[in-house]
Amino acid sequence: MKKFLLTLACMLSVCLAALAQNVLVKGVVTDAVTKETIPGAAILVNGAADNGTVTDHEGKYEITVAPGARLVCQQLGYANLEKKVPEKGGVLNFALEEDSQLLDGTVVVGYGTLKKSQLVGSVENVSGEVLEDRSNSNITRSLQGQVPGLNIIQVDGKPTHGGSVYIRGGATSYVSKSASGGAKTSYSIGQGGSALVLIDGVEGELSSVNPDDVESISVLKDASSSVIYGARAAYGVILVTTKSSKGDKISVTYNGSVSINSRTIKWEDNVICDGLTYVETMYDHWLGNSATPTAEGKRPTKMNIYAIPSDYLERYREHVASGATNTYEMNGKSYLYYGDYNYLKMFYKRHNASQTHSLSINGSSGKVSYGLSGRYYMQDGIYKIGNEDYNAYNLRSKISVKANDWLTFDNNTSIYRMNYDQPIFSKKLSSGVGSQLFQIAMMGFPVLPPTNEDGTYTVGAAASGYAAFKDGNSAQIDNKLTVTTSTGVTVEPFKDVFKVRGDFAYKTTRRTLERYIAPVQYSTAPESMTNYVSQADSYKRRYDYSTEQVTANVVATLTPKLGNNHNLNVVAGWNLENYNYHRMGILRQGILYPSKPNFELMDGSEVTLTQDGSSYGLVGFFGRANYTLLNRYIFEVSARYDGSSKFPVSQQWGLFPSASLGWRISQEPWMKATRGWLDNLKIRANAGSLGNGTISPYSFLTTMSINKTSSVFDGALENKVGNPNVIPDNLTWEKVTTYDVGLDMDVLKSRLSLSADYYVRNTTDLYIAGPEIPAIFGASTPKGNYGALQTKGWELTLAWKDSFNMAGKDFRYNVKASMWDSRTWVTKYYNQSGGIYNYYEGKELGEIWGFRTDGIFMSNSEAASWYKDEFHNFVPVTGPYAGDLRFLDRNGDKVINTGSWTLDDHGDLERIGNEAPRYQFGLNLDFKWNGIGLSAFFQGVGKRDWYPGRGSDFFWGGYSRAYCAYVLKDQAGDNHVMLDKSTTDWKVANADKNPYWTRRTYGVANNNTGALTFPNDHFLQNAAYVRLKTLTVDYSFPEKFIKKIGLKQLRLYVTGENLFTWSPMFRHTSMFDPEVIGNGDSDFHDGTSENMGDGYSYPMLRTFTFGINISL
Amino acid sequence: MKKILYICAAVLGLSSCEKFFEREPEDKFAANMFFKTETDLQSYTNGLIDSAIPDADDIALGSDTYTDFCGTKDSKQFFQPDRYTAAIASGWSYSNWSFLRKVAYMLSNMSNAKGNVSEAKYNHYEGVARYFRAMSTFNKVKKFGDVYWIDHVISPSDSSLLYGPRQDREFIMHKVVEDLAFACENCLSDGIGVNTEGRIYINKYVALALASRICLYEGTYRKYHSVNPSTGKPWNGEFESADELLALAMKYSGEIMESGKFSLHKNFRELFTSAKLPTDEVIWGRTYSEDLGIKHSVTYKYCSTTSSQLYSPTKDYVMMFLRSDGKPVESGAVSMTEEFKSRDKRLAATVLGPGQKMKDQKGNDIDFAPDFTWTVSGYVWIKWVMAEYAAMNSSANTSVNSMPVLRYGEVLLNHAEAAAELGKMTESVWNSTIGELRKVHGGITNSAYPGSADYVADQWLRKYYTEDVLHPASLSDIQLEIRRERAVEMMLEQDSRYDDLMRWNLGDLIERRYAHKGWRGVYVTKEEAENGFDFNGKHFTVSTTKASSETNYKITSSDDRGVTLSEGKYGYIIYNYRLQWDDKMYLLPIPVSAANVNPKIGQNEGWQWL
Repeated sequence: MKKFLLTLACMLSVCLAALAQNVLVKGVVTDAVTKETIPGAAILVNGAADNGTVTDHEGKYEITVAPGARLVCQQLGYANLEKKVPEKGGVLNFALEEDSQLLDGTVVVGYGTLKKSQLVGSVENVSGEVLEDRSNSNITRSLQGQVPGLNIIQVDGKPTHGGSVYIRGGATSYVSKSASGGAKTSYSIGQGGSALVLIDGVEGELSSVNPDDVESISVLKDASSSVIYGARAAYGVILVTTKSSKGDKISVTYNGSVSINSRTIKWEDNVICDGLTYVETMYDHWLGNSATPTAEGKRPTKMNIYAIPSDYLERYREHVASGATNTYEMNGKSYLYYGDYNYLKMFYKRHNASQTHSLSINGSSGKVSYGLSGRYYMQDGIYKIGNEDYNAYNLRSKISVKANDWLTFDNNTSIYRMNYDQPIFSKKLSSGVGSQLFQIAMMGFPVLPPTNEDGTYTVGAAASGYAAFKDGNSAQIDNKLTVTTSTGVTVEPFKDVFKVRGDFAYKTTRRTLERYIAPVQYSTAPESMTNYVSQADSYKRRYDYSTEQVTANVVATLTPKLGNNHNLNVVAGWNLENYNYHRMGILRQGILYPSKPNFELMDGSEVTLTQDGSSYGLVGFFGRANYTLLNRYIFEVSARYDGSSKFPVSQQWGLFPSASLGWRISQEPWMKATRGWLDNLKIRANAGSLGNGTISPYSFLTTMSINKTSSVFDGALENKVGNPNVIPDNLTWEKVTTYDVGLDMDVLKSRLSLSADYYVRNTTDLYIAGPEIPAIFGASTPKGNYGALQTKGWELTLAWKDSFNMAGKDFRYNVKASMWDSRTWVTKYYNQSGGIYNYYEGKELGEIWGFRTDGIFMSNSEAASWYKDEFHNFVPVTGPYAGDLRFLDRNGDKVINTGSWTLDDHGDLERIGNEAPRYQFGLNLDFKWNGIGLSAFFQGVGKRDWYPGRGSDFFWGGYSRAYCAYVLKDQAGDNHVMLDKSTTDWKVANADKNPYWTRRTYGVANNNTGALTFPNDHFLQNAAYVRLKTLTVDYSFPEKFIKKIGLKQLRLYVTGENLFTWSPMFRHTSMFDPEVIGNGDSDFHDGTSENMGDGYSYPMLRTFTFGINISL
Repeated sequence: MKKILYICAAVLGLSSCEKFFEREPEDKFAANMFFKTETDLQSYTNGLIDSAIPDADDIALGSDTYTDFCGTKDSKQFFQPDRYTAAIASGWSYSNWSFLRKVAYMLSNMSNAKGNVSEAKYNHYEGVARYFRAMSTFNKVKKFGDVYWIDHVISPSDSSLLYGPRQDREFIMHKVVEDLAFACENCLSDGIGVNTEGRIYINKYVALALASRICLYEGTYRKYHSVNPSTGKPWNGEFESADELLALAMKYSGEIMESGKFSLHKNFRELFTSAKLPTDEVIWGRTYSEDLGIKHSVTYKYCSTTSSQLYSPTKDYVMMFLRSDGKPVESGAVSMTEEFKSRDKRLAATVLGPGQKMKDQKGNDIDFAPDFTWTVSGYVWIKWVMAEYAAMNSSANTSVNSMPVLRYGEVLLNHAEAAAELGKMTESVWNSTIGELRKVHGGITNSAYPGSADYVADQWLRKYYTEDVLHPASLSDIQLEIRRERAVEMMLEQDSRYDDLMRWNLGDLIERRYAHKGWRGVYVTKEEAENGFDFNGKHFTVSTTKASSETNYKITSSDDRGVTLSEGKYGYIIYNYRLQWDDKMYLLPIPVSAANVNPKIGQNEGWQWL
C-alpha cells in the first residue's frame, strides 16, 4: 500500500510538471498523392499508442503536447510519418505516402504486438466491436461463434454462467452411462483445462470484464503463438486488451440499454395441463408397464407421495362428466384433487427485464493519459414467485504517466462486483439442492392446486418447490468481488529499438456463497399439517472464498532497424505467478425464524466448520524471435522454460519450444504478374510443444489428514491420522504438441480474404491411472503420465467487404463466414475391462453407443416372433409388444442384449452417433449506409447427435418416470402409438400415421435397463442447429447535426438476440434449446445424478434491447 | 508473510525458486514432516487401532454363525455345493491390503521421531505397529495360507514382490511370530494407555493375548494338518515347529496369568451385554456408546425377521454344556422347557432359556420367547443380545453393548490347550484354567480333572469329535474337554468356533451336521408335538400349516431348506440344508482377478482357476 501511494505521488508530481509547459499543435493530414484529407488518422505523441489523438472527418487534428515532442501520424495503408513539434507549437501538416504493405495492422500477441505481415502463428484478432450492442452479463455469450476454433460450451442461460471456453477441441471429460445401466458416471482423462484468459496480462475471468472496456480480443490458437505462455497455455490463450486513451481530448461516452427478455423455449406452452388428460396419460403409462393381453395390469395407488384411490381415473371422468367445477373433494379424511394447473406457468414469468449503463471518460493531458469507466448491469428474475436478482458492477481506472522520453509508468485497476440471489429448493441437506424443473416433474401434477381452501399448501406445492419459492425464505446468495491492480514501468532507452517493461499485478477475489432452506409444511386433510422440510432439517450454509494472485513480468523487446530487407522482433522475459486460495465453510441446521436465517437464530446443536485452501507458484522464462527476410520469408522461434511448485523437485522445470515458418508467396518477384489482383498470399507452418500444469497443487506429496476415530477411545473419539495417499512414481507435465499449417490470402484490393488452418494436436503424458497393479500394493493403482489424445481439426474463414455509392452516400457492407471442425481420439489409455463407456484406445470422444432399430412392431405376434431381449421385462411383462421398438440383432446371436458393455462383448450395441459438436459456423453480415446500420450474426452447429439422458422428462415425459408431471404435446395424439386391444394380439391402430413415440410405458427410459435407457437410433436426435444470434439495426445521427448540441456521437440501436432458431430435433421435441441440451443446472447437482435431467436448466433468453450511445 | 518474502526475493533476485516452490497443503500434513513427536506417533497408531480393531459385526456375527453350531437361513456361498470358484472369489483387492501398507508406512518413516521420544516409547510404538502387522498378516494366512510378507511401503517398481509368487506360510508365520515377540517385549506394561477403561490401546497384555491366540492357532494347525494346504506338500519345518509354537502360546498366556492383572468376570452374560467393558476380564475390546452415537445392530440382527439370517443355535451346541454338577448330559432328547435346568450357567447366558426376561420400552422386565420368524432351530442366541433392545424388535443401529476382542477367559483356554497338546497338562494347570472357567463363569462346583475319580467321560462328545469325521484323530479326554470348553466359552466371539474347526482339521463338521442333512434343533416330545407347549409366555404348536409363523414350528416335507422332525411326527427339529465341504476349503481360492495381474501368484491346492 505504501508503495502504491508513493507511486501515485510520483505520478502526480510528474504530470503537474509536464502540464505547465505544453503547447498547442494543429494541422491537416492528407494523402501525399491525391491530396485528399484523411479522417481517422492517428496522431501519436512520441509514437506511444496510448497518447495521442485522431483526425476528424476533415482530416484535421489538434493536440496539446510538450514542445520538442515528436508526433507520429499513423493510418492503415500508409507509411508512418514522424515530425517534431516546433518549440511554440503551431501548424504541423502531414502528407502520408501509401504503404507498400497494405495489410499491416498490428495484432496483439503474447507479450507484445506484431504486424499482421509478420505473423506466422494462428492468431485471431477480434475487435471489441463484436461485443457492442450485446446486452449480456458475460462476454463469452457475445463471443459465441465469432472465432473459428473457439468453442464455447454454454450450459444454460443463467447470468452467472458464462460457458466453458475451449480452443480447438472441447472438453475431454464427460458424463456417460455406467456399464451396469442407466446411472451416470463421470469420466475424465488427464487434468484437462480450458483456455487461459489474460486481461491486460493478468489471469482473470471473462465474466468480470466490462464489454465496453474491451479494445480487442486475441485468440492464440496454436503452439507457435501460445508457447510463450508455456505451462498455462496448453488449451490456448485469450488475450483481452482494454481500451486506452487515444488522444488528448477528453472523450466521454455513455452507453445505455434496456432489454426485454423472454425464454427461447416456453415450456409451459408445450405441456398439457388438463387434469383429466394428465391422469389418463399417467394411467396409460402405468398400465403399459404391467398390463398384458391376459392381465389387466397394476393401477397406481399414489402419485409419488400423493395418495390416490385406485379408481381415481373413473372418479375423475365422472367428475368431469358431471360438469362439476370444484377442484377437490374429500376422499375419506383427505383431499382428492381435480385441478388443471400449469406449474411451469406458475413458476416462470413470460418476460423479464435487464438493463445496462456504462460511462467512460478518456483523455490525456501532456504526459498523463487516463481512462475511467464504470458499468452497471442488472437482470430481473425469471420467476413469478421467489426473488431472483442479478447485479454486476464494473469500475476501471487506467493511468499512464510519461516521466521523460524513456520512462513511462502506468497503472490499471479494476473492480468487479457481482451479486446474485436466487430462490432454491431442497428437502434435506443430504439430498442436495434440486433443479425446480426436476421437482415439478416429480410432484407438480396438474391436478394439484398450489394451496388448499384454508390457505395451506398442498403436497404438490410443497414437493415441487412452489411453497419454498413463494415463501421466499429458501435461497442462494452469491456475492463476488474482484479487485485487480497492475502497475508497470516501461523503460525505452533506444526509442523504437529497445524497451523493457516490468509490471506487478495483484488480484484478489472475495466471494461468499450462502444457502438457506426454510421449513415447509403442507396439509393433505383439513386441520392436519405435515412437515415437508422439518424445522430440524432446515439449514443454512455459508462459504467464504478468497483468492489472491500475484503476477510479475519483466519483458524486453528489441526491434532493431536493419534496413528494408530485414525485420527482426525479439521479445524476452520473465514471469512469476503466485496463487493462494482459501475457503471457510459454516453449516448449521434448525432455522427458527425463516425470515431471518442467521446462524445465531438457529437451534441445531452442531455447527460444522470446514476450512481448506491451496497455493502454488509458477516461474517462467520466455523468449520469441521473429525475423522477416525480404518481406517474404518469416522465421519465428519461441520457447518458454517453466517451473511449477506443483511438481516434485526433479520434475519442476519444463522447456516448451516452438518453431514457425511463413512464406509470403505474393511478395516473390516472380509473382509480379498477380499483383493486380492478389494482394497477399501467405503460407504458414509451425510446430511446438506446450505443457499442461493444471494439476492439483499437491499431487506429488504424500499427505495425511487428521480426523476423529470412529471407535470409542476411553469414552471419547480420538484424533487419528488417515491413510497416507499414494503418490505417483513420477509426475511431470502433460504435453501438448501441435502442428499447424495455414494459409492467408487477400485478393481484389483486400475485398476478399480467406484464411485457413489445419492442425494436429497430440496431448501426451496425460495424468491418469496407470496399468493395474497387484492388490498387495495396498492402494489403488497410482496415477501417472500415461494417457494420450489426438485432436485433428481445421478452420476456414472467408470474408468479403466492399462499398459502393447508393443515392449519393457510401454503402458499405461486409460478409464474413467461418466454419471449423475438430475431432479427438484417445490414443493411449489403460482400460482394464475394455468398458465402452470409459476411454479406450481408439475411442473418438463423444461417441454414442446404442442399438440400431427398424421401426416398431405392428402387432404382438410380430413382437413375439422377434428375438428375445433383456429390456422389456417388467413383471409380468416379458418381452416387447405391439408398439415397441424393433431392435436389430447386429451381432447375429439371435438375442438382443448389451453384452457386458465391453469392446470384446458389446452385444448389439454399436456406435450410432457422436455428441461432439461438429462443423460449427458463424456468419456475420454488416451493412452501413447514411448512418443506418444493419448487422446480423448467425451461429450454429452443423452436426451433432444427442440422446436424451434417462432422467430427462422434458424429452421423455411419461416414458421416464411413473408419474411424470409433464404430459408433452409432442407425445399426444397420432404422435404416439395407439393400440387396438380388442384381441389378445394387440395391433398398432394408427400405423398409417407413422407415430414416433412408442407404446406408452413408464420407466422405459429411466430404469437401469429400460428399453429406451440405452441409446437407440430411433430416438437419437439430430441436434444440429442454426440460430440468428443477433440482429441489430442502428442509426447514428449526422455529425454536423449533433455537433450543435455538443456531441461527438449519438447512436440509437435495437438489437434482438436469439431471435430465430432452427434444428431438426424440433420435429420431435419442443422443450429444448439446442444450444444448451446438456445436463441440468450445474449450481445444483454434481453432474452424475440421472435425476438432473438434460435441459433442467436456467432457460436461454431471447432478448430485445433498445440502446443508446452518446459520446462527447 | 514468509511467502511474501519469498516472492519478493524471487522478484528481485530471480532466484530462490527452491523456496518459492516449497508448498504444503494447509489442511493436511505432508508425510515427510510427520512422525516427529510422540503425538504424531500416537495419532497415527490411533488410526491403526481404528482401522484394525474388529467391529461389532466382525466380533459377534463372524464366521461362527456359519458352523456346525449355528443354523442360518442361507449359508455362505462358500459352503453351498459347487458355488464358490476362483472366478467369483473375493478378499484380495487392494483395500484388503491397504492396512498393511499403512503399517509399513509408519515403520518406514517413524525413525523421524528418534531422539524426540525416549527409546522405551519409541519401541512401544514400533511394537504397536508390529502388533498390527502380525495381526493383519495372520488374518490373511488364515484365509489364503501362503501370502506375502509386507515389510516396506511397496512402490510400483517393486516388481519382484508385486509380480512374484506367494511366500511360504511357515516363513510368513515366522515373521508374524517375530513381530509378536517384539510387541510382547516392547509394548508398555504400565503408564499411559495401559489397561485404561476403554481397553482399546495396545499394550503388553494385549500383545501377549494375541500372541497366545496366534501361536496356539498355528501350532495346532501344523499338528493336525499334515500338509501345507496352499501347496499340498508336507510342512518343511524350516522355522518354528508345531511344538515350539505351542510352547510360545503357553508362555505368552502364562505371562498374563502370572501378571495377576486380570481375572474372570463373575457375571458371564455381562461380559457381552454391558455398555461398559468389564475391566477385570477384558484385555482388548471395542466400546460402543449411546452418548457418542456410536452404536451397532447386533441385537437387531439376532432378533429380527427383516434383516436376520435367522442365526440359530443347534442341539449339538446345547449338548456341549455340562450339568451344574460337572457331569455331561445323558441325552439330547429333552424338551426345551426342561433341558435348561441344572446346567452350566453359561448355557442360559448364551441360548434363550425358560424364564429369560428382556426389557420393554419402559424398562420393565418382560417374557422373551423365541419367534419362528427369526430362528430355524427353535433356539435363539442371546449371547450378544441386549435386554433393552431385544424385546422391542428394535431397529438397526441401536445397540450399545461393548464387545471384548481379547479376554482373560480365552487366555486361560489357550493356556490349557497348549499345555494339553504339549502333554504338559497337570491337575493344577487344569484347576487354574478350565476349572476356573467352569467355576466362575459356569457356576460348576465340581469340575473334575479327567482321570480323577469324579470324572465322567462324555461318550457323545467323543463321538462328536472323533467319529464320522474325515480326519479322525485320537484325542484324550483332556483334549475333548478343552474342545468342549472352547465352544461353551467362546462361541460367537469373532471366529472362534470356525477357527477351531479349521485348526483341528475338522472343517467337515460344517457339512456333516445331523445325518448330513442339516442342523438339529430343539427336541419336541410326542406330547408337545400333539398338544403344543408353553415357553416364556407363548404357546407353541407344531403343524404343517402356517397358523402363525411366530409360534408355529412349521413342518414341511422339503428336503432342502425345509423343517422336518427327526422321528416323523415328533423328535428333533431338523433344518434340512445341504452344505458341502472339501478339504481344499481350508483355504479360500486366490481370485482369478489377482492372477490376471500377476500370473505367478499361484493357486491354492485343490482350487482351479477356471
